[in-house]
Amino acid sequence: MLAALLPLVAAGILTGGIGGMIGVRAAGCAIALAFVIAHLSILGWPPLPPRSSLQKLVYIALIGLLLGVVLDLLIDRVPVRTVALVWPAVILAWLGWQQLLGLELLNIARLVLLWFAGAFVFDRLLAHRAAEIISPTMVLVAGLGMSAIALIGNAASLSQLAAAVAAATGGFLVWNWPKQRYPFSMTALFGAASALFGVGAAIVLFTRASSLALAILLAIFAAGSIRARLPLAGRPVWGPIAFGVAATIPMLLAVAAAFFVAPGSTD
Amino acid sequence: MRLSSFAGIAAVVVTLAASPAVAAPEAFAINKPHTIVAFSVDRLGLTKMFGSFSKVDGEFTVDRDNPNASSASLTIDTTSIYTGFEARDKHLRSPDFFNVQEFPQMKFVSSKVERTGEKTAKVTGNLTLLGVTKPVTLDVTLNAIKEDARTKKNLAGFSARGMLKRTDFGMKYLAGPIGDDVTLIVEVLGDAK
Repeated sequence: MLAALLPLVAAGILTGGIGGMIGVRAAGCAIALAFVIAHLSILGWPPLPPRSSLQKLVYIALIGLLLGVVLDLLIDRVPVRTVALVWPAVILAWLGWQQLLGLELLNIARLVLLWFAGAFVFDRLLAHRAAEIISPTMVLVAGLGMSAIALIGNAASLSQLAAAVAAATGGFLVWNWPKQRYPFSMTALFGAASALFGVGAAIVLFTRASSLALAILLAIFAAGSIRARLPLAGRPVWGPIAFGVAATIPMLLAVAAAFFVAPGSTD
Repeated sequence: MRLSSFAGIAAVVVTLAASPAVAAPEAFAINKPHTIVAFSVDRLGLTKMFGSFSKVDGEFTVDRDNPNASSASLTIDTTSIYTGFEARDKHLRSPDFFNVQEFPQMKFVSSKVERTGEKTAKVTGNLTLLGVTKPVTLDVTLNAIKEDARTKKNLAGFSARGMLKRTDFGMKYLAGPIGDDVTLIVEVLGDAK
């Protein structure tokens, strides 16, 4: 409960505070900062250099946040898509360096698939960044699904951290619905997506939670493409809700897969 | 100059030859089926929870003439954790606790042995758990060294007890409801090499 409530409240306060004091594009850093606050409340401050994947997640969120700030400042001078392609690979190399050095085919294949997944997530979030509050809604729904899948896979702390990403994004969304006040800037996107992807990668690499279920969650990020065809699309109040409901369908399917189908969650 | 060097070397050789015979330290390999590393930890202030690792490997040496020169090294397969309740074992293997997919082994390598009694000693060593290495001291009792009637080789049996704080090794999840102080219970049987 604390894992969800604390980042929700923290992100709400930080979004309004930073947005009012520094500027609207900076408001989105509240998501990554609220995730870090939640991480500290669950697992304490990690050592530097961090030793375990759980400890690395704080630094992944903070580095992602800094990357976003730099991209916001240099938005016309940096190939953002290239950064969004390389950054997930860097996250994976840091989390999964043992698997990389082990040179086992299965582990390398898993890392490559994770990279494709990460690149897809960043790409889709970038593609829909300017459209209402579509991108943060995808992060919120994916975080909730990831939390449930991790919990079913006996990874309680990662479940709490995924819930923290969702709740922190929720705290940001509270300010942006029904009227959008703060854009989902690069700062917001890279902070939130880095935390989400880092948690997801750690779940795949270091737990018995269902990878199949996590793969189904990716459909949430494809849902952005159909938003224009959804009922109530384009209406500022009901449009985002309709999209949130649509994105929840693959999330529920993924959780059901984790619960009923995937062997990793039950053996 | 050369003559004095030769004289020095000769003196060392004569001294060594004249000194009484010293028994070499005996080396033992861990007898896996009869070695166990167990632990107990407080749960909610209500009960102690016990668990163990069934896969332990390693070796040790016993120097009967100079016990302080004895040594030990143990490698514990953290995936082999067993507490008698499968759901709890799965949770203990997760990143919340032993994080076995990222850190499949725990290692203890002795660095200092201090004899405290006829058959007891304090063995200090470095324990590596979750990628963190910290010193841990074990109170060790040499139960016996006996000849195995079947193989005619020596067997050595030890009991060791110790304590560590799990948060020192970065295992911070549920620190509070699940105690920080972990009692170690180690029973080791070694086969002479």
